[in-house]
Amino acid sequence: MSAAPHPPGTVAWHRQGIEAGVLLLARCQVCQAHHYYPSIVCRACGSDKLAAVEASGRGTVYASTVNAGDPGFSVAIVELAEGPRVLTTLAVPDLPIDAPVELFFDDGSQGRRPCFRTAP
Amino acid sequence: MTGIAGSVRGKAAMVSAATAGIGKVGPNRSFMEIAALASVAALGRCGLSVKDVDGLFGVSMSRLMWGVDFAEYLGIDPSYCEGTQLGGSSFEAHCLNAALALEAGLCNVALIAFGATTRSGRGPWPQVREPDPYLDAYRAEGLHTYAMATQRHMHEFGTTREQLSEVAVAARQWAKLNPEAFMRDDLSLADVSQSRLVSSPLRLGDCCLITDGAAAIVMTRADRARDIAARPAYLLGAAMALDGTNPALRPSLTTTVAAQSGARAFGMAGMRPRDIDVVQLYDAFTINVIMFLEDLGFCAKGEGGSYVDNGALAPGGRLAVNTNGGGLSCVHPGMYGAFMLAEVFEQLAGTAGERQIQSAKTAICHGNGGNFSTQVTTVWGTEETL
Repeated sequence: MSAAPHPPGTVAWHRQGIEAGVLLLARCQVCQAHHYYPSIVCRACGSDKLAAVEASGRGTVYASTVNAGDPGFSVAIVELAEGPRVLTTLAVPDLPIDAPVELFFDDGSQGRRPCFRTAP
Repeated sequence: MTGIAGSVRGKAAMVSAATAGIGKVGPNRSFMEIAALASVAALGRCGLSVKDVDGLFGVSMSRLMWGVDFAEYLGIDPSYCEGTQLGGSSFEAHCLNAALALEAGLCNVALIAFGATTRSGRGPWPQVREPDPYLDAYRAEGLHTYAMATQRHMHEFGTTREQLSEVAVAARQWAKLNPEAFMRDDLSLADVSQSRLVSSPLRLGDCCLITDGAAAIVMTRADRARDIAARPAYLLGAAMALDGTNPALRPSLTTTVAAQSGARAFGMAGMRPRDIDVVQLYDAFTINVIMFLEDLGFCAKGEGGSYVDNGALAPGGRLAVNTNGGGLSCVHPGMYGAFMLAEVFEQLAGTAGERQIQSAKTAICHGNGGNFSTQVTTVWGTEETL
């Protein structure tokens, strides 16, 4: 996915990216910081010059929890290689902190959503 | 944040407080009714009536424009109404805002009130928000943030399962001294550590109660406070800080913005943690107490686990924390901030009975909202501290 100088609107951006199976980050054209989730301002420097860039999909587990129940479910925070962290779910719920993971898309009951699994 | 140099130190005071409906009220009392019961009791205790209230402050889990509905219920016509919604810490913010309104002469008698029948009646939080695609797809709730913060705190600092349990056991021991507290049965470290998992690593014993309850606070300007109450609790310092809802956007899960609100509130009061006699820390979960002790400066970051070890927060311990039993053992309908304020009033007024901290002159009441989303720190003191 090539960078566009101005994203079309972060709501459409997020939806279209998800539908296309890509995780789009916002990159500030002024200070180069990456952001997720995207907004129309750079949370680092306040600029409104943001462009969409595709995440590599690589990251590590920053934190995770398993909600008890039958079935239980995983809620986690993954730190992307580009810097931002993402609230997500892990395919293997009990991965330790710092475990390397990779992005995939799950088309389950919650709709298509970015998830992470053990990196090969 | 630089450049915040304003102060409300000593301008206003709590002159009364009351609670009502703590525990389970059953199906025949509404959230509005118990909030009114607490309000009438608080006002009556200092010789006032609802007709004296011209400033109304509060939020509700059941009504969007709660102040409007509550004024109608009470039959009052306030000149000033404020409903800042920051979650459970809202009421600490209302104290600051009441002080501002009182000081500006925009009201003369401020009533801060809250009530909810979460245990007996309809559940909390009627949803009035648009879906959040970044959270809802994962069924992420506040609970999960607290769970992940606990996991990180154990990972970064070696905080132990038993240290979390110490917080819960200490709260229960204070609750045993409070006739109003909902849970007063014996509780051991093993009871907490072996309770069922809720969301790893948090167990049931780490989580606050789900109860009914109402609390009301009355505030006036400082000069009038002396005429109304035997021992007013003067607001010496107050500050708020925000940290969003999505925990992935925070630089850290183990430091909250209580570090910021605490610094500004203590700065306004001209005090330090060691000056504080009684401490109320919003204990939605056991990890909250550990992290707030660090962020407010009672101990260094990472040392909160050691700080709470060996009954340190229990009656007779090194620091009097959550002397009513807290959200963990006294009361928690979903928002707890008003109840902490009522406890501060009792302690500084000398009316806390068996759980009274002798010669208490200073208190901190630190509210938390959302999933560590908001932190509002208030510092209070008796006449001697002005």
